[in-house]
Amino acid sequence: MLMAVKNNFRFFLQALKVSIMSAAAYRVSFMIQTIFMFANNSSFLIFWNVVFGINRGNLNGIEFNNILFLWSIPVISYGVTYFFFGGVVNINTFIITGQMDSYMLQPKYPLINVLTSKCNFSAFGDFIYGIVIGSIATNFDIKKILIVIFTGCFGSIFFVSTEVILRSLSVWLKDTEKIATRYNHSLLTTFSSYPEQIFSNGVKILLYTVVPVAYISYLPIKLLFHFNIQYMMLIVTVGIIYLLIALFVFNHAMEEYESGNNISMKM
Amino acid sequence: MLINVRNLSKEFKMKQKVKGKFFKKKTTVLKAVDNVSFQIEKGEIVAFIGPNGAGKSTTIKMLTGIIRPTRGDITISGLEPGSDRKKLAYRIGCMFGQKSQLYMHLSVIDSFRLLGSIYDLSKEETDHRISEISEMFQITHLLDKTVRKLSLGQRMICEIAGSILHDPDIIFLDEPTIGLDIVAKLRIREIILKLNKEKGTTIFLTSHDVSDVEVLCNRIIVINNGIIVKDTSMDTLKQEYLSKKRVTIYYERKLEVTWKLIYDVIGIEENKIILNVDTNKSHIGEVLSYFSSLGNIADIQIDSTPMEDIIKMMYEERKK
Repeated sequence: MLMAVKNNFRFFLQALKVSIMSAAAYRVSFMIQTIFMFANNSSFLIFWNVVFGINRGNLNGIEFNNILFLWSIPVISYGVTYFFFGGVVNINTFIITGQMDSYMLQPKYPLINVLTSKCNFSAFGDFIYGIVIGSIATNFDIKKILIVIFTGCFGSIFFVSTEVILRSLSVWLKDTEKIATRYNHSLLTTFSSYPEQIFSNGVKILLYTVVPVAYISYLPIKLLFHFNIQYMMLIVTVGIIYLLIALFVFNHAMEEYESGNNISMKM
Repeated sequence: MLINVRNLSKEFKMKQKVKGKFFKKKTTVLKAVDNVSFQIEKGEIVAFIGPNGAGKSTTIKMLTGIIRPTRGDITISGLEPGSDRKKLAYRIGCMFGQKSQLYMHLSVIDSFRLLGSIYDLSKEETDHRISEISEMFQITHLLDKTVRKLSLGQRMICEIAGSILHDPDIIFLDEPTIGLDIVAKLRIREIILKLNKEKGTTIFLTSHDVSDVEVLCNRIIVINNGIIVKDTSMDTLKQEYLSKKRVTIYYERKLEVTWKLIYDVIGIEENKIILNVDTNKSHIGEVLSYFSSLGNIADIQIDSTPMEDIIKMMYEERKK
């Protein structure tokens, strides 16, 4: 059992290296996309800066620093997810077209292969951007920067898990591409870029349960203002629960997988 | 016994919309494989053939653990593919002509190295196997090429090489020569035979190409509509079906045939005669010398009976 975990982990590192190597084969595209993503994210901060300028640095008790953290921690999570595990968006396509076959034939856990099957260049821009903005927002306080990086990286568990759950449902619901894209881009990403205080209690219940924005955005920010081990434990526990649910759904989906006959190449 | 398949069936549930009802769907059951049984011994080269939609790929997918059977049992080297999929993966190699195992953006050697780590081979073991296989398949000059830059024939050879990197006991080859020109086809066949002869690897292959089956296999299993129509030795099959050739003779001028032809002529058109020749009964040279006496021959075409026709013959015989 321990040996199998070790072998799977060794393979995961190797596959990750190959995925990044494949991305690096297109260096110019990689650089351009990283820079554009950096610029794209900055445009939102310019907008917030104008709003805070008009309101003299305070918006119903929310400070500009809160906004900087909102544009740092979840952005790191997003960057880690789609740069390192960009293949997660392929799950539904692999299920529908039968491309999962070649992974099912190998003695490694198919999810590792799928997650590392694609590397999204622009997400690297998100990752770097999140760290830069987070460092500025903490006034380059090393301890706080480490919290930003840890919670940011840990937050990718929520993105990956929700993507795995929704896209694996393709086995039963045919193509869940639109559901997964809407969920992750319109709910998880959008809600995580606004402060918790603006939402009603009803919405907050959703944001602490089925749309786990609280664990990739609100609670990590609270940790930065007042470090609290219970908040940290809560983030980690809920993260593990999400991951276990994702593995359960994926494993079950693989048992029901019925393959297909499309002609395909591994990219 | 290496492979033992007993009463294997696979059914797919298909949902169809009911006209005029938005939510209501009708479920129909499609029997892709129906009560199939066979055994394969170590070292055999078995062709598993049938027309499109016959159940070939579904059977291979069940044998390799990709999908689970609805009913029946499979054991391969004592393992049950559904529950022992990961253990079985170390014992089998697979090459699906329509699906690549290699990584398009990587070089062949990097793809092989990644496959090595998938099968838990150490770096030294992987490099040793790569050099052994590249020599055997004569692909050393391709190792540094990016997979996407290989020709189809080169890619297929590298796919087979990748599938045996972990030294499997059995290889499943699904349409290994699909879309290849004659030179590449011959090369692939040569490699398959070499693997079987030198390593004693058991080969289970599907192909639409009669000549693949004729050259490579010592046994043939024919499946149609999910049912095994024939399970016989290659020698028997050759005697019964593959000896039947279709010969088309083109003459320089229009033929005026007023006498009864002694062979099984199935068509005469202007300057062309089409006939069936059973090479077990008539020597092809004698046939040609007879027809050359009728006029000056401009061209000759000799075709094997198409796979679809052979299966049709077998199916009709079975019904009788």
